[in-house]
Amino acid sequence: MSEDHVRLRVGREHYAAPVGGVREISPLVDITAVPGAAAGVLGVWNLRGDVVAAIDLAVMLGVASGPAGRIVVVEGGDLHAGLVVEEVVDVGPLPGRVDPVEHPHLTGSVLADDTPVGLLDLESVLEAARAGSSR
Amino acid sequence: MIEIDRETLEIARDEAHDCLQRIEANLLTLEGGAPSAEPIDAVFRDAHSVKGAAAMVGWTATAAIARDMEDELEEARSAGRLDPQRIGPLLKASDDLRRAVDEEFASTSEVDSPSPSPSPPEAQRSLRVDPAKVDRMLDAVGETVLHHRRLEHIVGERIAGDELAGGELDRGERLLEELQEAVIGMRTLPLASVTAAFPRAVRDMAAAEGKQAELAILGGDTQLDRAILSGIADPVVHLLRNAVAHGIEPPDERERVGKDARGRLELRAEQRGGLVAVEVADDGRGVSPELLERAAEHGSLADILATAGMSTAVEVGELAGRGVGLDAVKVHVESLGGSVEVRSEVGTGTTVTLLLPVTLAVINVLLCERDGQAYGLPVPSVREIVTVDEVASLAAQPRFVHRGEALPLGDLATLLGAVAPELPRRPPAVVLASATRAMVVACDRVLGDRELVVKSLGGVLSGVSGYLGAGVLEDGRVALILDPNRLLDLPAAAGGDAEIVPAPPETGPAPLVLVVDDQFSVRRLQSSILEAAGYRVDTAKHGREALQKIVSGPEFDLVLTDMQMPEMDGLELLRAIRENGEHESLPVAIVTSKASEDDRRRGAEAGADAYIVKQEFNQQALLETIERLVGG
Repeated sequence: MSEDHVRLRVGREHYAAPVGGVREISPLVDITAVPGAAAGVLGVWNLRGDVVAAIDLAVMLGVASGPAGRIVVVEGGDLHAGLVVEEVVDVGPLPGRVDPVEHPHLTGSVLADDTPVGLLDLESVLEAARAGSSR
Repeated sequence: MIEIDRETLEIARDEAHDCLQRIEANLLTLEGGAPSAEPIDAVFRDAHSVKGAAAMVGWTATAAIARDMEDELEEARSAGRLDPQRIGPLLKASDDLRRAVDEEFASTSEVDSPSPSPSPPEAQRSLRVDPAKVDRMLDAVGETVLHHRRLEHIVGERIAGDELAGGELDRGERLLEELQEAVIGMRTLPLASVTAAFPRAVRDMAAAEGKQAELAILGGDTQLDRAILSGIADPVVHLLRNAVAHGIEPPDERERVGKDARGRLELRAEQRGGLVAVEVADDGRGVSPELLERAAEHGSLADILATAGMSTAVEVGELAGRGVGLDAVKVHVESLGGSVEVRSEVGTGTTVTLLLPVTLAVINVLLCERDGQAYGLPVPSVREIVTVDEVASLAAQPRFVHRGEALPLGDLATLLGAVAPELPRRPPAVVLASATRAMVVACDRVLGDRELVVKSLGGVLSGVSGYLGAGVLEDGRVALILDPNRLLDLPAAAGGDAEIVPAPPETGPAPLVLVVDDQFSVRRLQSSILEAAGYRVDTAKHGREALQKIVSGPEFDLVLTDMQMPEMDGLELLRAIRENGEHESLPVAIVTSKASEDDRRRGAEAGADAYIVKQEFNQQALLETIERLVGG
């Protein structure tokens, strides 16, 4: 695919977000839990004075995950938030052939170095976190 | 048809609105019986301007109404007077005119909306800025202030004694504070920006009740945060309506008691320290003597009226009318971090005062810790801090008996729906209160009060209720700012299984501390922190009052004083104590917001025993310092 992607790892699985939707990658910091927020929302943290929600990508995708390692700040629709992942693998182009996947948060998948990589629908992930956080 | 760009249409509409505002104001002046020539001229001129502008942009309906108005005023001008009977119809005509302007603006501007608005003229009198940009700037400045404090903390100790470097750090802090104030100033607007329609509304409300009333607006140029302004417009209208409906008497009744037949309402605004007071006053009949008596016994008239307004009891009768919706006003104002006071005198009138913070951007909160996380509670909603040493129970719900009331008691974590380890034995707790409700919220630790720059949780978390926002603490962590009204709304059942363990009672006489501060909220907070820790406390509003108490009152064990105060400041108080033979060895601790080395040195020279900087002010530090001073 022509657009570069940020490749992430959660548990044993790999996912990718288009660089156009990634604002920055930040090290893991103290996250303040927000009681009442959706299960996938870990809380908020202070990103240079801005209070930003931190979303556990593993929970949103229903994946078993190890210790969190990085926060990838993404935007989609009119929302932005940090996706907490185990590792940022690399940034670069992905193979061209996209296979369809039946998943609300994925637009498809590609095979990179024999590893399936899910293509994240950032807007869908963020909207789901917002919808789950209404009470 | 001539092509007219949107900007020109907008200017025409805004000018017409300005003219209409003046027309209304002048018609009301005429109705008030003012010498007539000048206002008649003014209404004529404004009607004429609207007509001209409307004709230019092709608004025919608007132009027609304005022309009729102009014609009528033309006659009045030559006659030198306007028939008072005509004021009502003219006011109605101005309503029609406003409607016509809005409708014709909408239809004409839609047609050529695709044409991009041209760049604004170079020399504008004021600059229009997207409020979001100002907020972003305020965020950045707030963050810079915090960064500077962290820097000061880290560097401060390493450069101790280096006057040049220390001076520069102080200077940096002052400059940043100035910058922060300037940016906050950009968020503010004058009160007058929301009050233009009020005089007319008061007149109409009174007329509908067969009464006469006029509204004077004083201090309309007082600045308030735009978010607060838009939040108080409705409550103020409500208070005006209450004043007209229940305060102002019918004309004959007024004349019987020797008042002007026309009632007078005043909307006053003024800055009071860090707060803005917005007052609605009337010269009506006031509340009943019984109600005033009850207020004298049970606390504030605002609370009594708000409670009465909630009640439908027949015995409360017309008194209830006075309080209708006052509870709603009070809850609303408190959610903005403000408070409500009511004064009334039988037969002379009633004044309702809304005390509001100048800005919503900065809020004073009490920080409480639960499960390692800090939560902020807006100080106006905090009645006091207590220690939960005994738990009662009612309908299987925990209660804390305090000052003759069995208040619902809950664990902060449980109330928020969070899972947390058990509370400590004898946990500290915050008594939250509105006019009608109060509850006790237990936590692990009370950290003290802070001024936080409020940030929206926004976006993904916009649907989560119960929070006013969040603030960033000195160490960079985020503290959630709780909405006290939301907590008070929760059913007591939410407090459920709060495991709160009572502790053995205290023994021996407790040390007596004198708290000196000119701010009521600070006195109340410090007092309750000290009382919760088992001290006895007395308070004074300034140095002079404190000195009187020290000389004539009981034997104090410690004085805890603010630095900047009216009458006699902290340093003067300290010097006076040290020069007093009988009390010269009384321990004095100074609490102040300025971390300046200068203050510290002057305090030490004058003989202060301890110096607590408000920035570092937390319960632990305060209590440790006090224990050292009175224990040793």
